[in-house]
Amino acid sequence: MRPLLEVAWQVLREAASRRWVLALFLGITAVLATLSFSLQLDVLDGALAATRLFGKALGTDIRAVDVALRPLLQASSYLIFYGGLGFGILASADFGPSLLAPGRIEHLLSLPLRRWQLLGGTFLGVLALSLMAALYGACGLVVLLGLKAGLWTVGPLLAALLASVTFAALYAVMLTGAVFVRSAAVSAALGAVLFVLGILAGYRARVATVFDPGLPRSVFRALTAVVPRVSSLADAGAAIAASEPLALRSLGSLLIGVLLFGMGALAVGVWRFEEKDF
Amino acid sequence: MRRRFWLVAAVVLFALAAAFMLYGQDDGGQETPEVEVELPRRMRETEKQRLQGRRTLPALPPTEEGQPPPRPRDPLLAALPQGRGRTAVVLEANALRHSPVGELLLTCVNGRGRRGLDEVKAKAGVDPLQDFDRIVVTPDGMMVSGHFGEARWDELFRDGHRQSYGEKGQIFEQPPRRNVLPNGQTRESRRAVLGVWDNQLVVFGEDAAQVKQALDRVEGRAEGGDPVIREEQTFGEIYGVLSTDDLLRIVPDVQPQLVEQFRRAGAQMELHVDARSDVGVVARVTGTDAQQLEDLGKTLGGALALGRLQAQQQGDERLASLLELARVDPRGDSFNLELALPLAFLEKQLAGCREGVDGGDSENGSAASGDP
Repeated sequence: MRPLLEVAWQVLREAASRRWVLALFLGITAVLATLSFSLQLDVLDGALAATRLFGKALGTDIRAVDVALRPLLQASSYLIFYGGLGFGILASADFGPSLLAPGRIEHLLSLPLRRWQLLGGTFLGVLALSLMAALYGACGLVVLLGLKAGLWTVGPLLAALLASVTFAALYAVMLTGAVFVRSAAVSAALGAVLFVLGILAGYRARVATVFDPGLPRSVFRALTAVVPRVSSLADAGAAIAASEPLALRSLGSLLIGVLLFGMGALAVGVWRFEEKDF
Repeated sequence: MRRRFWLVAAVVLFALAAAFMLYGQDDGGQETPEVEVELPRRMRETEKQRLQGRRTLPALPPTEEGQPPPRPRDPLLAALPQGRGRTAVVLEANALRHSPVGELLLTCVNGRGRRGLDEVKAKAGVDPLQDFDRIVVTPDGMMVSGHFGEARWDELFRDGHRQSYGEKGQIFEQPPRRNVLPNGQTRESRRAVLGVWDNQLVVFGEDAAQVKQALDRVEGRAEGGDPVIREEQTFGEIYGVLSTDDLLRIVPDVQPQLVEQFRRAGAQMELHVDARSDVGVVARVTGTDAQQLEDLGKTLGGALALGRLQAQQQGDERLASLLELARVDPRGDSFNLELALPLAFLEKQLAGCREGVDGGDSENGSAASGDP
């Protein structure tokens, strides 16, 4: 376990030295700061009586603050989820290829590490980074709403955790792709394709009706059965953030399924990595 | 061998992943339907047609500038008292009777209630469930519009006095009667006065002058004034106007602070209830003091939020979910207090009463079957 964490730590240190990580955290900070200075919430007896954005009154109904802020919480959750995934795919696409870069890979393989530990450590490092970024944004939003409206909710934090689990599955495929073809572009493309397929898979029951009953529909169902349900988890994150009921039978099962998919993809990567000559 | 292990592990993990995701997502399951109740905020096309159809009084020449507005051409609206600060609420009895909520409420009418309705039909020749079109409730009395051609007014007022009034009006008066109570004491009943206009409008009152005034308004003999309910306000299945005093009299346990705010704002409420499927309630509150009215809207919004919080704390999920759908919608010189009652919620609320009625009926039925 220790070698695995050491590799992850090295990935984090390397990420810290990159400009895009700084840009990510500065971007999140800028959004939160803009919101904190421009958003004015007038709360009276637990009801949101007036809302001002950049000094301009928004025509909102007078309702309980948690009900009135539901759209904001849902929108934030979707932003954290989809925005985080999109940024994560682009920003982490070259981690795998740089790990396998000639010169560096030979050095890493000469260390007392097993190959699966090298790949697993890189995966954990990127995952920790995405988790930190998502939690930073979500914590900022929670504190902002808590101080401005007295609404202390863990919803956005849970949404951020869901986004991180989903990113784990996407990044596992990206890293595995990099093992097969050492290219940041291919890695990012794989992540993007899985991202889109995951959105489709989340609505597979509705999308399946587009296909003719019989073989075409069955093939579609079979192909999407194994794809991580990205949009289902995004919807679940938004529902949790807004304290609304989930449209799922079991969020736990879905999360376990998505994590197992990530582990499966990583296992394929390790299989290829083990047999590859450098 | 070691390399093959990773490949086998991948296949197993993918299969498990698919199984877990298929179970978790529940593709065959129904999504939680979003509660969306249509609220009566403006007149709909069907209500415009309904309004047109009710304009049976002859048209009057246009009034000169500065003159009071002409009487409405709908006999019922014309009969209503005039002037701001009054109260009148109209129930579209026929529409309500045939609405899902009406059907639901009728199932709650027990055996005694049904017998009462049958008794009215037998004695008066009027079936309230079929012949009533609209019912108006005012602090001074009631009015009912509908079809009263089969009514047996003479039989009902056998001991009373009958007189024709105006072109199409009749007034029936029942003098106070001494009724002997079961304990042997006697009690004098109130005087009953009833005005009937053209067999389509009935006015109930306690004194003849009041009933005559209503008939005068219908036939155009009274001076014109602002009608308490204007034609453009006649939308929904229940609608009307409530003055501050009457509103505070109806709503129990209002906080003194809220009462004071209502009075300071000079608030008047225009009520509209849509009961075609779910029940949507919109209460438009206007007032004489804009600032006080704004504060009143915020206070009511806060009261709704607090009520919901208390319901949540007390574990009253039904009330909490109901108050979640309530809101205050500020509109500059007025605000709307909006409330939605989904039909499913009402069905749950009335389920107990229906069971009680079924039980009661079966008891009545068995008693009736034993009765020769």
